[in-house]
Amino acid sequence: MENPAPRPYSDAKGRYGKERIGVFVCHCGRNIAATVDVKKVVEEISKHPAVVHAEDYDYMCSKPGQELIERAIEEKGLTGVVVAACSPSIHETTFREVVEHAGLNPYRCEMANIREQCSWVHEERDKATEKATRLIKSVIEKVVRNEELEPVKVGLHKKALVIGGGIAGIRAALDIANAGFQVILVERKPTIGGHMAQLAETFPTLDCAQCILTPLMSEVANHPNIKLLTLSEVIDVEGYVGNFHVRIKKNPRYVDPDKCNLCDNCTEVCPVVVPSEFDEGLSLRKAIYIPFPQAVPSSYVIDPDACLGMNPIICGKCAEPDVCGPGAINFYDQPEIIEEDVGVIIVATGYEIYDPKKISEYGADKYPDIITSLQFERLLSPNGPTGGIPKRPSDEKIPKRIAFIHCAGSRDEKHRPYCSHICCTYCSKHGLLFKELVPDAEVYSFYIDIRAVGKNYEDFVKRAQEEAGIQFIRGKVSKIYEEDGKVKIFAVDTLLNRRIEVEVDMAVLALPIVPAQGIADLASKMRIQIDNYGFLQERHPKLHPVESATPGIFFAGAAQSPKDIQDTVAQASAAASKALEILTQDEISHTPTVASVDRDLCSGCRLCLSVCPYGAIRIVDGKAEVNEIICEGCGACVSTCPSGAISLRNFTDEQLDAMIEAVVGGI
Amino acid sequence: MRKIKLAVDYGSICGGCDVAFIDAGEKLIELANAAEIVFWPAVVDGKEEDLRKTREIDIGIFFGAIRTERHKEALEQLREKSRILVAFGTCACYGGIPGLANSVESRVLLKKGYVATKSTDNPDGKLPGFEEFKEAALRLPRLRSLVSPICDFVDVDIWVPGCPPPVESVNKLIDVVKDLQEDQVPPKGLFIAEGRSLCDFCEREKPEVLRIKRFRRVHEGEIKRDECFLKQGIICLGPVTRGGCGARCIDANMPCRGCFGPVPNVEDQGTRFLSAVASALMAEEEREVGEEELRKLIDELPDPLGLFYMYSLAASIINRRYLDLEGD
Ligand SMILES: Cc1cc2nc3c(=O)[nH]c(=O)nc-3n(C[C@H](O)[C@H](O)[C@H](O)COP(=O)(O)OP(=O)(O)OC[C@H]3O[C@@H](n4cnc5c(N)ncnc54)[C@H](O)[C@@H]3O)c2cc1C
Ligand code: SF4
Ligand code: SF4
Ligand code: SF4
Repeated sequence: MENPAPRPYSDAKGRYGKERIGVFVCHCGRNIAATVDVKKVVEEISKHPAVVHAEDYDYMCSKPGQELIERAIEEKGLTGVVVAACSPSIHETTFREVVEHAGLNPYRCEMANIREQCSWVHEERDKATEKATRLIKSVIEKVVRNEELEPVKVGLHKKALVIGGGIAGIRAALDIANAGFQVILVERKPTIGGHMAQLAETFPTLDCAQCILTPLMSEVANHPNIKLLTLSEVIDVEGYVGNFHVRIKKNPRYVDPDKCNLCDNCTEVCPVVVPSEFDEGLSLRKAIYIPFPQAVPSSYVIDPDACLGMNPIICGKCAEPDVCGPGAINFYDQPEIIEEDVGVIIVATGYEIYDPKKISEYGADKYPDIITSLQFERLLSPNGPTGGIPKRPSDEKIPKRIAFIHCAGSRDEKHRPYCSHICCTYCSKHGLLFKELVPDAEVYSFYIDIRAVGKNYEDFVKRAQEEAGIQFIRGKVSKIYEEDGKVKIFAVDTLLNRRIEVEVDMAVLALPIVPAQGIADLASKMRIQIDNYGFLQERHPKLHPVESATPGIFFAGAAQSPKDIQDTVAQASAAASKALEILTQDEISHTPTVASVDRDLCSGCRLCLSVCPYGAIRIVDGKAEVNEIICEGCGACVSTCPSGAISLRNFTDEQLDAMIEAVVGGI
Repeated sequence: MRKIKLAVDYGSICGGCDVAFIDAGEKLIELANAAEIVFWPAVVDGKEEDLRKTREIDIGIFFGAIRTERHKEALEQLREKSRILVAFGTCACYGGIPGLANSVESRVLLKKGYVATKSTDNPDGKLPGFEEFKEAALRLPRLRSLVSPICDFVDVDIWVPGCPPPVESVNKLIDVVKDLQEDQVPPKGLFIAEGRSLCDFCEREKPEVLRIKRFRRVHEGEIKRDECFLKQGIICLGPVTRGGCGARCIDANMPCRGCFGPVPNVEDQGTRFLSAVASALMAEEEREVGEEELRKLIDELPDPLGLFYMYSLAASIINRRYLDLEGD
C-alpha cells in the first residue's frame, strides 16, 4: 500500500553525487562552429556542477578527437561522457566504442545533437549557442541517470529461409548455400525461375534469359545445402532474429518427382485443357503438365483445380500403368505442414503485372490483339506459343504495324502513380527484337519520357531508336480499341501539341509492375512493413536498403521495388551477405535499451500487444512480458500502457522529465 | 491509553465524505474511543475558535478541494497544527468533480451562475466575493481562479481517494488512528487504496487484443455483464485508475469513471487514458480505415474532457485554462 504520491516529479537538481561528467563539443568543421560559439558553450558547461571536464575540437569523430575522450576518461576519472556533435544515429556507436575502450560502460556515453537540431536550423549565433548549452545540459541529466547495461545475448539457428524462387531468391539461396549454410527455398509455383524464365532475350546485352537462368536453377536443384520446397507457402512466422520458427504448407504435386521420367505420355491422354500460365494464356496446357522443359524440380505436376482424376472414378487416365510407367502419379498426395527453425529470412517474392482489366480504356481485356508486354515476351521466345515469331492472337498473322504503350497505368494517379522503372528499356528491347524478326515492320512507341537509367541503357535505347527506326511518339494514350481487325490508338502528341490517331495491327501494353499477390498478408505474418503500394519497406532507403525494420529479415528483387535483373541480382547478393553476417556469428547480441514491464503494475489489459510494431510482447500468466531480443526500444508501448507499467531502459520518465526541465527550465 | 487529537476541516465539499464516515457504523465507536475530536463541524458541536486555539493535533483530516481563499486558509491552518495530514476523498486528493470548473475561468463561472441564467434576477450584475457585506458584518471568501487538490499547497501524509471513499477505506483510516495510540506512525505517502489498476480486480473477461471499433454510451443497447467494457466500446477508466474501490461500479454493470485517481506510475489520468484509447481504436486496422474514418469515430465520443478527467482535471498537467495560479 506504500506508493509514491501522485506527483513524484523530480527535484533532482544539485544531486549529482559522485558523478564526474566530461563534455566534448565538436566544431564539425564549420558545420557547428559557424553558428554555435563552441568556446562559449565549453565555458558555460564547465560551470555545471556535474561537469569536471569540458573541451572542444574540430572533429570529435576523428582519431585525435577520439583520443581526447579516452585521455580525459583516464586522467580525470570520468563517470560519464557527453559528446555534443551530430545526430546519435550517425556517431553514437563510434563514441560508445571509444568510451568502452577506455574502460567505461558504453551506456555511460550519450550524444547531444547540436548540429541537426541546432546549428543547421538556426542563424542567430547567440541564441543557437544558448540552445546548444541547454541541449547538452539536458543530455547530462540523462547520462547521470543512465544504468550501466550489457548487451542481451541469445544463440541462433544457422539456417536461412528464402521465400520466392525467382532470380532474386535463387541468387540469394545459392550465395548462402555456397558459404556453407543450409537454406530452405520456398516457392509457391510448381517450379522455380520466376518471371525471368518467361522472358525471351534480356536487355541490355540481349542474352537469352533461359540460357543464363537455367544453369542457376539446376545448381539449386543439385545443391546439397539447399532444401527446395515448391508448391509451398509460408503460413506462419514466429520468433525473432536468429530464432525464427516457420511453418510452411507444402501443397501436393500429385506426381512424385523422383519417379517422373518426363516421358510426357500423361499429357497425351489427359482430356482437360486450360490456358497456360507460363505462356500468359497464349497457349493451352493439360491438367497434368510441366511448366516448361527445364523446370526445377524436373517433374510434371497436376493442377488439382483442372484435373478430373481427383475423383479417379471420373478420370485417372494418366495414372494407368501403361501411361505412367514408373507409377509416379498419386491422386492421394496430401498437403504437408513443414516446420523449420531458421536464423534469417530473405523475402524475394517478386512482382506481378497490373491486372489489365483495371485499365479498361486500353482494352487488353476485350480485344485479342491488345496484349501485355509479358505476353509479348512469350511471343518473342523461341519456346513460346508461336516459336519465337510474334503473331497476332486473333488471326495468327505476323503484325506489320505494332505499337508499344509505355506507362500503361504507371505514373498515372488513377492507377499506379510510380514509375515501373523497367518498361522503357524493355519496350525498346521489344521494338529492337521485333524489327530484327520483321524488318519491314513499322514500330511505334508511345512514351511520356524515356527513363532508361542503368549501365549502357541509354546506348541501348538509342540503338532501338536509330538501328531499328522505332518511331517514338511523346504522348499519353487516351484510348485503345480494336475494330475490323485494326487496333486504333488515340493519343495527344505532347511535342507537337496535337491529337493523333494511329492504326496498328497489334498493341503491347507496358503495364505497371505491382507486388506479388499475398505480400501484405505475408508481411503482416512476419511483422515487416510494406509501403503505400505494397512493396516491401526497407529499413532505410540509403543506409539499409536490403533490410526490413525487423532484424534478421532481408529483401531482394522486385518485391522491394520494380527492378531489372541486374539490380535484382545485386540486391540478392547484398541480402545474402547481410544474412551471412548473422549466420556466421555464434550468438545474437541486441541492444539492451529495451522495454520492461513491472509485473506488479501491469493490469493485463493487452493494449501494449496491439501497438508493438515488432510483436515483442506476449501475455504470460495474465501479465505482459517483453522479449528483449525482439524489442527495438521504440517506446510505443510505454506511452500506451495505461497503468504506467512499462518503462524503457535508460529512457525512464524520470530521465525524460529531468531532460525537459533542463532544456526549458527558466525560459 | 492516550486519546488521539483529531480534527476535520473542509474545502469545497458535497457532504458525501461525512456520510462515508457514517457508513462505517459500529466502527465509529472505536473511533470515538480512540480519538478526542477537536473539530468536525458535521459531527460535534464546536466553533472554528476551538481549532484555532488548539496548538497541536495528532491527525488532521481534510475533505474537499480548494476552491476559495477560505478553503486555502483552513487547509494551511490544519496542516500547521497536524502531525499527520490526511487528504480524504477524491476532491482533496485530485480536485474531484469541482475540478472540472477549471475548464473555464472562474469569472465566467460566476457570470453564468449569478447573471446569465434565465431564472436569475440580478440587474446590476453583482458578483459574490468581490465586495464585503458590511451591514451583515460578513465577508464572503473570494473564489480562487482555480480549483486545486490540497497537495498543491501542503504536504500530504495519507491519501484516501474515492468519491466518496468506501467503508473499507474509512475502516482502515480508523485503524490508523488506533495505531497512533500506540505510537505506530504510518509510512509517509500511505495510500489507503491499491497500488494496481482496477482492471486487476475486475472479473470481466478481457479480450485477447483490445480493439475498439466504435464508441458506445451506456444507454445504447445492452451491456454484457461478463465482458470488459472497453471491448464493448464503452469507455471504462479501469486501466488508468487505482484499484481499492471494491469495483462497486463494475459490479453494478457500470463502467469505471476514475474516482480513485491515477495508478501510481501515472501522473496524468486523462492523457494516459487518451493515449491508451487512441491505441485501441481500430488497433491494427488504422491504415485500412484511414484518417477520416478515425476522426469520425473519435467525434462519436461526447465530452472527452469530462469523461477522461471527470475526477482529476485539477491535478492534471492541463489542469487549467490559464496559467495564473494566484489572483483572478
Ligand atoms: C515484360 C518484361 C520484360 C522484362 N525484360 C527484362 C530484361 O530484358 N532485362 C532485365 O534485366 N529485366 C527484365 N525484366 C524484369 C525482370 O523480370 C525482373 O527483374 C526479375 O524477374 C525480378 O526477379 P525476382 O526474383 O525479384 O521476381 P520474380 O521473377 O517475380 O520471382 C518471384 C518468385 O517468387 C514467387 N513467390 C511470390 N510470392 C510468393 C510467396 N508468397 N511464397 C512463395 N513464393 C512466392 C513467385 O512465384 C516467383 O517465382 C522484365 C520484366 C517484364 C515484365
Ligand atoms: S518499446 Fe516498442 S518494440 Fe519494445 S516492446 Fe515496446 S512497443 Fe514493442
Ligand atoms: S499496456 Fe501496460 S497494463 Fe496493459 S498489458 Fe501492457 S504492460 Fe500491462
Ligand atoms: S477496462 Fe474496465 S471493464 Fe475492462 S478490465 Fe478494466 S476495469 Fe474491467
